[in-house]
Amino acid sequence: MSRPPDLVQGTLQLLVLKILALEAMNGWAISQRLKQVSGEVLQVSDGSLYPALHKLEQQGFIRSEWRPSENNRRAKFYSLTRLGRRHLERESADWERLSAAISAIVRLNEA
Amino acid sequence: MRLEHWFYALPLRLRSLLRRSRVEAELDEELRGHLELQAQAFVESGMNPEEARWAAQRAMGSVESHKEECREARGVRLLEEFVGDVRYALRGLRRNPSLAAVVVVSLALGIGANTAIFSVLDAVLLARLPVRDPDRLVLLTWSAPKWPAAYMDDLEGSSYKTAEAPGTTSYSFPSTAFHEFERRATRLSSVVGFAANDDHVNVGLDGRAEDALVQAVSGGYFEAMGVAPALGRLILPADDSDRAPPVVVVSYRFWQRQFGSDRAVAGRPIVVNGTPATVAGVAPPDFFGFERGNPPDLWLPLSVYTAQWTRLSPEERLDDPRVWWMGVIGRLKPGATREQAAAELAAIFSSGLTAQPGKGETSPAPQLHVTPASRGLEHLQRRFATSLLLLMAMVGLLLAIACANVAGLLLARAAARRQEIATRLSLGAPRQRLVRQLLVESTVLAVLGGAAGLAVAYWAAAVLVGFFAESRNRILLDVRLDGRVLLFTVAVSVACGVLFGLAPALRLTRSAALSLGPGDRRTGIAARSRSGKFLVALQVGLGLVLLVGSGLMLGTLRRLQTVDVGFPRERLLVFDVKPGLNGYEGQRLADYYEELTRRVAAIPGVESVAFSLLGPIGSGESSGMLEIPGVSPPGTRLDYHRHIVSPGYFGALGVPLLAGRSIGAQDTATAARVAVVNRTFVEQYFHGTNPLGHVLRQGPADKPFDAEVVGIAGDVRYNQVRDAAPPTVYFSYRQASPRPDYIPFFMNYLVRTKGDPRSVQLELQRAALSLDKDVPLVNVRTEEAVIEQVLFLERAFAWLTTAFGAIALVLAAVGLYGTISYTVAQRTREIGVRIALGATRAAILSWVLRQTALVVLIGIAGGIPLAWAATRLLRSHLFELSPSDPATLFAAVTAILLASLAAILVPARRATLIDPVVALRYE
Repeated sequence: MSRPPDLVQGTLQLLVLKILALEAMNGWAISQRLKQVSGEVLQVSDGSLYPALHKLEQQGFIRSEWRPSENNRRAKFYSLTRLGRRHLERESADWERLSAAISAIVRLNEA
Repeated sequence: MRLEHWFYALPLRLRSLLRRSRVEAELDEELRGHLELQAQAFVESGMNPEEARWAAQRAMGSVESHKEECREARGVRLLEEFVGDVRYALRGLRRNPSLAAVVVVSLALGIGANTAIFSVLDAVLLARLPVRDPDRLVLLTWSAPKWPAAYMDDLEGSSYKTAEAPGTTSYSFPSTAFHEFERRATRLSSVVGFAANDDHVNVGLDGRAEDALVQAVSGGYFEAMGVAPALGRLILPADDSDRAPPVVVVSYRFWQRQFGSDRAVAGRPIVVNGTPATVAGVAPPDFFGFERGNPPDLWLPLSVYTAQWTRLSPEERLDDPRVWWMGVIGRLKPGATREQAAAELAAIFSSGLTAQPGKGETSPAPQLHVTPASRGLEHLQRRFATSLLLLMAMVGLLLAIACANVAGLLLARAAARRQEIATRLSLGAPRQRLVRQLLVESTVLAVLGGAAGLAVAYWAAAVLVGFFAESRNRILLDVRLDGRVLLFTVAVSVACGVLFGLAPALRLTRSAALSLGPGDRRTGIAARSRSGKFLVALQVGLGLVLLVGSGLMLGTLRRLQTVDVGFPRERLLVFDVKPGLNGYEGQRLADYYEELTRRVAAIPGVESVAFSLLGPIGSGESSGMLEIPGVSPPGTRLDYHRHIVSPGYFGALGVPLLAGRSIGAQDTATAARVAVVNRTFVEQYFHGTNPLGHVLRQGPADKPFDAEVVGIAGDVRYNQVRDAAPPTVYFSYRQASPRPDYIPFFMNYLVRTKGDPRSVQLELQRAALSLDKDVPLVNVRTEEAVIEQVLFLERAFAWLTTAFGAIALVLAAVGLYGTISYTVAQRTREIGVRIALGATRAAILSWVLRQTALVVLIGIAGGIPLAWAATRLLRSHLFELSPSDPATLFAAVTAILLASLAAILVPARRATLIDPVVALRYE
């Protein structure tokens, strides 16, 4: 893998889309969820989440709207678009295939 | 991105562009909200608020850099910066408006002149006929090394010289040949004919008489062209028959003008030269027939034309194979080539030719050619090709000068901005960003110049079209500005702006960061000042070429305007009458002419009056061949130009009679036929011996048409001002035809007045209407105006080249001003030191002059050989003037020297007024 940052970026995108597939969330909630699900494996600083969100929005995979949040201030909530849902399905399938193939190779070497 | 992506992305991007501050505020709010929520979460997990805020901040990292990344994600950053650059560039232009003005004006003139001239050149030389598939059309022509007198008695239409075939070329054929082509050509899908003469007719509409240009065509003409009528129908094959009711097709313009765009025009009556006819329909607006610039008002079937011809000139039959009067155009069949068609048609043509004995048997048979006709008859092309190409070359030079000017100014500015660029670089501005900004600045200038150029082009093209429309033949051009040339010229000027604005800046940005201090400014300045001076010298050199060209054209115009045409052109009014069109003929017609002469002569203010078939200059020409028994070698025929005149002609025109008598009232139809010849005729054909009493013989051997020479008149230029008087013979209008009672059906009158010729104009009309109210005087004009019209090409050329020369001079002066000002400014310190050390003001002045003189003299030295070479191309346009005329060269050099002096006046004064104390503190 010559460009790990791309891999991380792609993975981050996939994770964000997956998280948003369940419900609309604001940026902070997404970052909490990310920590929760990926634990120590994916080191995502709070700050780098936002450029990723803005990029996804520009690509049309998610959309945003301002809504009241937990602390009674308004916050920007992100939700999946139809385009994003399709993208997620496609990407998940690709990911499954790729990880299955890699697992197979790794197991082959062990044998 | 796919379409669906754009569906989401486009509103977002537009929002980030147009509501920029709002988007920024939201970004800020979003990130702040995150920090607050995170801090709150930390507080809930047991931290104190202060700690929690810091922890949240740490987890986030640098807010500003994340903001920047978010902005990047919006994808409009480039555009935002671009808008900023454009604003910055415009601000810069406002700060330095004189530089911007000079650059934009230079570009506007270069771009505008090139676009206008090329657009006219395109309309005249390159544009194809607006008909179906014009590339398949061919025009039949013939050429012969000598006039084919054995095969032809009369040629109607035109003959001309071409580069392809020696001798004479023409597209007039006998109608017999046309019918053979029509019947036997297998390579052509259609063969159509048209009258090679364009004729003016009297048209009667609702009782009003109008003058109209008519084109007679064969029945299949419009079908072969593949044009559709705008209204009604066009001429059909069935219309071209003696038994068919006469119809005409009117041009779109004529329909608008004379019928008030009446949609129900089809079927309306119209009278053509007294023959009642019906309007069949209206031709499409862009259709002008075959001849660009000379659009007919009416199209008639050939059958109608032939019938009228026979009525007006009964002695000449259009079905005679020795009368050549028809143009022939064909459309190649699919798959057939021009060569195949030529081989077949040449065989058909030569099989129809028979030489008549006793008529110059030595003349070789004419050869048929099949030429491409996608551009029509190419009269305009032949007349204006060299002129337009020369003008194109001149505006090309002008563009080069404009580019050099722009380059010089931008070069100066780039050098002046060295300090600014170095500062910005050392403050951390990315180099690529600076380069982009400089590029935007050049582009902004070019776009402004291009826009102004478009305006100049529109205006200049309209002026050019006006020049053509004012010519004697009223050449009507449909000129559209050419987008390709506009783009090309804008590209050239942008390229030169970028090259000279950017290249030095680039060089600077590479090294500038290291050299912020004032210490080593010299090297860059020396280089910049060398290329700046070279550019000014280039402008001076090219400007000299244009100035010499314009001087030569002005000299030519002046000489042509004042050349002795053989008669005094002042106080001379000319007009035409065509009583023949109203049914006058024979003795009645002669009586009309004589009576009109008497009535005009009786008008107070009129000195004398006479008439002739052709006006003195600018009314066309008529020529023939004759023998002089006992003088010319037997069997050879001599060319001569013919004038058919009334009694008193020489007196009224003011032509001196050198010997014998003039043509008088006694030379009637029944008297012995006489002729007066001009001095050139005597010199060329009698070799100085006495011609009086000799016989001039024309006509067939069995029925000779003889006239006795009774007088010698002074030389008068014939039709053209430019050409020396040809051998000319004058006949009495009563004796002009072998048929004794034949009188030409129209005449050109000459009225010599005592005062202003225009003052008798009203009385003239009254005299004519009192004689016959239905015969109008047409084309009343002064002979001076006629000559001006004949000289339209020279006048247009002189005006245009003078304009180009003046522009070049101004641009070169501006360039010089800029360069010398810059040099003086850069050397303020040095000059200050010199003055402090005791240099006088005169010494400083002479230093500035030396700087200037060097540049200007190098430019002139380079320009003289260039001008010498370039003006050879003008040779065919000059009149009694050598391309290397020393007076013109001297005047051009003087103009450049004077302009240079004027240009350096301000900087030179500034240099002498430098205060050494201020100057030494200057840096």
